[in-house]
Amino acid sequence: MKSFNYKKHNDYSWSMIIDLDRCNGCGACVIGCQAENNVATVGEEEVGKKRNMHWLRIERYIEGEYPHVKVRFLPMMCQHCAQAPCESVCPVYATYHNPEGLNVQVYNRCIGTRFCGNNCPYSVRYFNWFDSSFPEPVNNQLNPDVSVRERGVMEKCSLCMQRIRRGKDTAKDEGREVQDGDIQPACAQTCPTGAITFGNINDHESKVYKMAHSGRAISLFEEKGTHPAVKYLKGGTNDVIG
Amino acid sequence: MSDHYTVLGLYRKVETITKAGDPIREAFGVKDGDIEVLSSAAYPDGALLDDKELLHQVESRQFLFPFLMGFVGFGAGVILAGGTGYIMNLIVGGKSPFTYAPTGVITYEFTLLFGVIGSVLSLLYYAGLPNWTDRAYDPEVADGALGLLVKVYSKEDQEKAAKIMEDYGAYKIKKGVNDF
Amino acid sequence: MSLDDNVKRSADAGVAGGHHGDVMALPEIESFRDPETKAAKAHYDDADIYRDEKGFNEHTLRPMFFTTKSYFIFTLALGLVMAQGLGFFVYQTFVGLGMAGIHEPVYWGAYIATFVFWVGMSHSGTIVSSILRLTQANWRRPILRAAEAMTAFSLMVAGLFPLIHVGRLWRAYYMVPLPSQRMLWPNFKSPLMWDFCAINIYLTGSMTFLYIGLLPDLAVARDKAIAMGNWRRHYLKVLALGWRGSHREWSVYNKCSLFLAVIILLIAPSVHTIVSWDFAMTMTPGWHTTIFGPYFVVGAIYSGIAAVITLMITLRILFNLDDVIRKFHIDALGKLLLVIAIIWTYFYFCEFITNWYSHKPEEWEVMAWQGHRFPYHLMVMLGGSCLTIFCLSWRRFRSCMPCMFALTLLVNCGMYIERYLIVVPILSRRDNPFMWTDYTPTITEVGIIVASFAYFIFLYAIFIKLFPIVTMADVKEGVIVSGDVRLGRHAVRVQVKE
Repeated sequence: MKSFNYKKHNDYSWSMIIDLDRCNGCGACVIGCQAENNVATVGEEEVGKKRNMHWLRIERYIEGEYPHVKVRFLPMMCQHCAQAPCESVCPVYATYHNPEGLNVQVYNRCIGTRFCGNNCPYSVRYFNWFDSSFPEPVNNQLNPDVSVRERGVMEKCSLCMQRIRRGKDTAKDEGREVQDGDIQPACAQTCPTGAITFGNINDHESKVYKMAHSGRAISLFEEKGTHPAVKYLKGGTNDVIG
Repeated sequence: MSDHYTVLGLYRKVETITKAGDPIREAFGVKDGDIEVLSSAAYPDGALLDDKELLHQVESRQFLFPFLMGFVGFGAGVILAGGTGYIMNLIVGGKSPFTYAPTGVITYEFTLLFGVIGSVLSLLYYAGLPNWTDRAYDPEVADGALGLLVKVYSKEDQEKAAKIMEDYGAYKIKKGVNDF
Repeated sequence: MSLDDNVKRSADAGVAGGHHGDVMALPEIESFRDPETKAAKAHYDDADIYRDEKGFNEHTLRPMFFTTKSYFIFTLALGLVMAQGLGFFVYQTFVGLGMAGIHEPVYWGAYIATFVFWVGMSHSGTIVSSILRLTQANWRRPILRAAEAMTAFSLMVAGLFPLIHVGRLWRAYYMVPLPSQRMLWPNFKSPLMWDFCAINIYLTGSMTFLYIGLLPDLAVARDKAIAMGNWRRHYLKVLALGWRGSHREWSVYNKCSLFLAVIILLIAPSVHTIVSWDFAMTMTPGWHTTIFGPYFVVGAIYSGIAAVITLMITLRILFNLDDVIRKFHIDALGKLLLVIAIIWTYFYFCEFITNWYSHKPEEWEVMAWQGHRFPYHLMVMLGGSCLTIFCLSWRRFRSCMPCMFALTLLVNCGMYIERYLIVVPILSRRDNPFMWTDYTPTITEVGIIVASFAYFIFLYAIFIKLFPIVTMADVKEGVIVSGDVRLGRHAVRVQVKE
């Protein structure tokens, strides 16, 4: 019987740090994620019905009145909680915690009860309301490493599991451990300001470990006790210049 | 297997049928299982026929069916909820694969399910149902007549029983062979 | 079977097989049966109505054997409503759940609210058959069958909704806990799996209860069908299992009914508690509260009894069962409904005042949204329950059929609204404020939900034509175990209780 902090005994424990001071809300990470993971574009009407499928979304919190407006940007994706509320409520084990600290979603097991989506306090789980369509020539852009989900399954950020796999395979081929910086999810790769950092928090030399222990690191909804693997660095301001 | 003969006497009133039961028994030494009263509604136990010994035996054992099946259900619930959690060693929500409370819930439900099954089995077993063969019966019983059915082992006894029943007020007698 | 026989029967037979000792020698009974006396009008009795059992049998089996043209038209209309629902459902299955109005974060909408409503309605039969049987309330006798049928059918309808709202219906069998070639088992820690087990077990139990209760009446119906050469005799003969009504069968049957009543009584509250745990086990503010277990059970009993009253009045009018289902029965059910209405209002108030008083921001937001978006719904629900408590306090109201019919329909409307208000506003205002939204059901959902109501009535209509709708054996037993005793100047009806 494993306890929830069993990951400490494993080699890898993936974590992501998002520096809120550097995020300027450009949204490039959203596009990068969509391109990498074959995320469907649902169209204007469906987005109007709040059915957008952005695995990573930029939340904007606006304070103040014009012209003294302050906007805060919060890139929100699956927090990969160690005590994920979504995992225990799935009736068919379509989502569980893998030994490397990721909350994985098994698309072909999911029957679409959407209980996990209800129980996520961050509301980061997305449901395929229709079949996704990738008409010509967009289908040429699909990533062969990632499946295209059919209608009726839940999906969410997987911390680019396919890139983690590739990184681990490459390291194995070369007979070494994965080094810090080997694996970059699409959002981290795309971010122009370098706000997103990914790495193995079990490696005490890694950037994410140092950032997580920097004193600026917070977890969202910490009072809910979900112990997310994604942490945010607070501090600084995001004033609109001018 | 030797043949047995049945006599079914229909009565209209309760007091007449209650008076007819004992003489029949005395005349033929009828064992408890061989005499029955047919009615369209449930009379209190022992109201129509003095059958307490047999009924008490049945009653005391009937409870065992749902009770023992309840234990089977308990085991089934533990194996299903707890056992499958144990073999599917997946961490969900930071919880251990084997949890007590959800196993308890499922065990409770399955205990009750098997209790239901046990109750039905007890009914089928002790009442000898289903029995779709042509048995001694008259549709007038459904309309309120009370029937006294006795099983005897010779034709002369059959005639004698029919006579006794008529003496005690049966308005209709039906005789049969091998249809108790 | 005249009245005198009844009286002498209990005297001769010895009350309850002699358990209570000798009954006092009965004096001559004055004409308590004179319908003009006030006591006779107010009091419950069957004896003088059913002077002959044959007439009673034919009267109560009449709805089963004789079908009018309006029945076929009605059933056809129901079939059309069901067909449109089926059409929407097929379309939704092939195009995707996007046809329904649900979206992030309101992942459960009207389907789940209706599901909970139907599961709640299923408590009707359990309460009437189990609790009233165990407390030996004599007025349960004519209504047992109809109530138990209601339980079974509302569970059948409720069981459809998890299949309707699931994203991949063709893979829904993943939830079935049977060993498979995939070597995967479902997750029993999930409240949905508890739901799956509990509802199926309750369905099995209540179908069994219904069938066992039907056995003696099936025998009577079988005899009638054989005598009439009716087509029903084929299946009635099989289903009656060769029941003869021997005293041994009756004794075993009574014991089995007792076991089943107790077990169903244990199952029923657990089922609705488990359904409530679909909500209470989450960390959503507004749902994560311990009161949901008992609150849902009481709400279920509330809507169940109201539905039983509605149904009884309908049956009374449609099938001329005025003398079987009498004002006395509706009056007694009304009293029970009054008690449950008070308990439900108490639970609702508990939930409201704890949320309101502690002013936790997330729960306050949920309440404010409920009040802002659904003010009229709240008024209907709460006004309905207060009106219920007020009106049901008067015997004149309880004995008035149209009033009770309208009130119980209002109660059930209120309870449907309550389920809706539990599911939708709370999901609209979940933890993450960026995702707060509104929800409106689409025509697909409305069509399917209306079809579910039609399906329920349809199942009931089919049931009435295939099986006896009045528990004849119980009513006859009620006549057998009651008699009259003189107390001073009055003649009082007494009953045997075990």
